Amino acid sequence: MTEIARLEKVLWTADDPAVRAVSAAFIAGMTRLAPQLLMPAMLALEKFARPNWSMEWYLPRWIGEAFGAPPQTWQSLMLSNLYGLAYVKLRDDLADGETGDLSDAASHALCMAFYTLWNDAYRALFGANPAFWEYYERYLAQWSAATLEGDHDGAGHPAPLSSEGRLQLAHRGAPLKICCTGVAILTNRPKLIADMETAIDHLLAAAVLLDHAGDWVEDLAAGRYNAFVAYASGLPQIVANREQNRQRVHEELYLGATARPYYAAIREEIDAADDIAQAIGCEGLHDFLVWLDAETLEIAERLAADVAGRLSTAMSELFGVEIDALVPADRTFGLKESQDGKTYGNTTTGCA
Amino acid sequence: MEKPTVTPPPDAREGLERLIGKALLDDDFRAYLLDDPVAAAGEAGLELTDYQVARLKSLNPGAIEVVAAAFAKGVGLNVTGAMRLW
Repeated sequence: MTEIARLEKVLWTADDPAVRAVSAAFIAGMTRLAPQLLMPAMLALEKFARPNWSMEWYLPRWIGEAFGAPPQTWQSLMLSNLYGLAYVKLRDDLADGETGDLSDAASHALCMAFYTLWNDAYRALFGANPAFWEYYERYLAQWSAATLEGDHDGAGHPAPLSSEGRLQLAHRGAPLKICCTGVAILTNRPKLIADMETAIDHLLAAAVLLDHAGDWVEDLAAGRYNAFVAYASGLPQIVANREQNRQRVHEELYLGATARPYYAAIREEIDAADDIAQAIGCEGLHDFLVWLDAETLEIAERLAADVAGRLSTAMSELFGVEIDALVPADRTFGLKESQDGKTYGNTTTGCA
Repeated sequence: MEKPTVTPPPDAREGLERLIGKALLDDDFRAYLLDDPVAAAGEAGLELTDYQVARLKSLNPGAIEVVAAAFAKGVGLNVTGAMRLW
């Protein structure tokens, strides 16, 4: 079994007793508060049970285990966090008008129920602890600012790969930091909070950049801000620029760097997060970051291979021959710097 | 016009692929390339051989439109497919 396969098994074990216990507590909480909303709540939970949510589920556990918190503590934080994730996701769906079969009234009621359970769960753990609630407010403020910024055309948004831009993207996931800081407070490790925040911001920047690379087509069509589009095109993401923005992404993929700098930035963020994860002894997070880095590399390589394959296929369809037959062995293209500074050809063949 | 007998260097392949890729993605550039391959390639920083110019000029405009339409459909490249939260 490869290391990656081993990590996938560790990270995505469906029969993890902790996941089962937290899921059961999630359902029990909803049954107590709003039994009429149990079915849509369970459908929401089912969405979060997918393997790609391992980071969101397990962060409190990874940090709890690293900080010596008892399982009961990190499971309580997993539950609080899960209600928070459900609230955040549903609120975004409401904003985007993507609540599916659920009526607006039911969606709003469910959203309120998740919010109530989220806060109740934290209140049960932290009471009126001012330090915790100060962090809570700070992270929610970061999230609101980042998502409000992302709602418009991105004209005032910093470049997505700049330090400022990466942090702003990371703040879209700021609610995830609440449970992590909660672990540090409950285990009396306040001095580690700043490092942990930084690690999670790096992790979230990587996760958001990766998600946006996968969703750029849908985001462009739906008029949602997308960091991958912003990387390829500096134009505001308004309807009038939609086709131009699409064209610029295509040019980046097929004529430019095939998004290599974008994926390199994701891996930088993963590295930065991992440095801290290792320094604070968070083995679970380290394992996840190793996996995420391998996944990012694979996605970038698959993208480059896909682009090359599509171009090659198009060439064959056009000329009826492989590209080799079109390019003479000696003195192929003259080397010229085009106006955009890119080099498209070569004066020497290198063939003896 | 001589046909090649050995595999060309990667830069040459890449140059030609990018030229054709640009033509497939950009309607105006496609028309320009078909009308005046030497000038269009020159703007992209490339010098074409006589053989390449001849092959480009021999392309059927209707056929290249079909290939371009198919190519444009495939450029979404959704690489993750995961539901997004953040």
